[in-house]
Amino acid sequence: MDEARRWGRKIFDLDKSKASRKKVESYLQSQKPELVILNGHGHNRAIGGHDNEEIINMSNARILKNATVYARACSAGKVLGQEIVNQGAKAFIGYKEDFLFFKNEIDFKDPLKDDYAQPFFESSNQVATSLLKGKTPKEAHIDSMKSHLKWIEKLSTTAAGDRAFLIPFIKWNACFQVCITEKV
Amino acid sequence: MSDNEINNDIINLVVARLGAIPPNVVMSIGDIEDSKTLTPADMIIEVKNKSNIGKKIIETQLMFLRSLKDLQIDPELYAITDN
Repeated sequence: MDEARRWGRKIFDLDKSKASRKKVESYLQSQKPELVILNGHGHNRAIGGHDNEEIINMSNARILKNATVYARACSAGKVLGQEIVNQGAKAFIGYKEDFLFFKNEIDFKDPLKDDYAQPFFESSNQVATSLLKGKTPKEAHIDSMKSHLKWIEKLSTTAAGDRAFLIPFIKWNACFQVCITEKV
Repeated sequence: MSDNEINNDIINLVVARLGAIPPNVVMSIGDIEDSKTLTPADMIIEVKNKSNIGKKIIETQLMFLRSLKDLQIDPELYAITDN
């Protein structure tokens, strides 16, 4: 959100109870945003919103036509992502498997300030950051991959402290992040 | 990954690796129908039970360990200088 404001983008933030299927469909159909960023639970044929209601699935994927979509939602990249592009979206970036992360159980507030969550969220947020800067979906995906690799390298050194165990899980998210683009 | 492919050696290996996770850290995993927040102890139980989440945890470790064999060693880094 901060990054979007920094780049002077007009934002429609459908947070918490606003992330219902009805409201999401209404906004997408009326505003036709160029960039849609989704953050919620998911499975291979749906992305969930408030109370895990399916806000995007195979039946309404067409409402993302002409948009570039980034979905931090488990497994949506396995089937739904391709359908979203088939129905006219410019691109879909998401995950073919569960997006997983770690955090400090005792004192978790901001994922970017949590030592254990930061590698996961900084790397995945890079997709959105790069898209907001005007990069293409492929460039944004590659930027995110570079961030994952940077963290793997960093956590492979003695400076990692007790965080080296994160490496296989960071690699997991990176390996299953996909970028699906429209045929040109 | 099928249950047949997960033998006790693999489970023991993964459990040992999970032992390196600090006790105050939790993992968030799972999809829209089955999402969980797991302590390291919870993760070990899931692995030993070969649950869906346990199998995913096993897969993360095996995928990483298998990737180590593909590490490329740059010969330039190991140049020997004869004086």
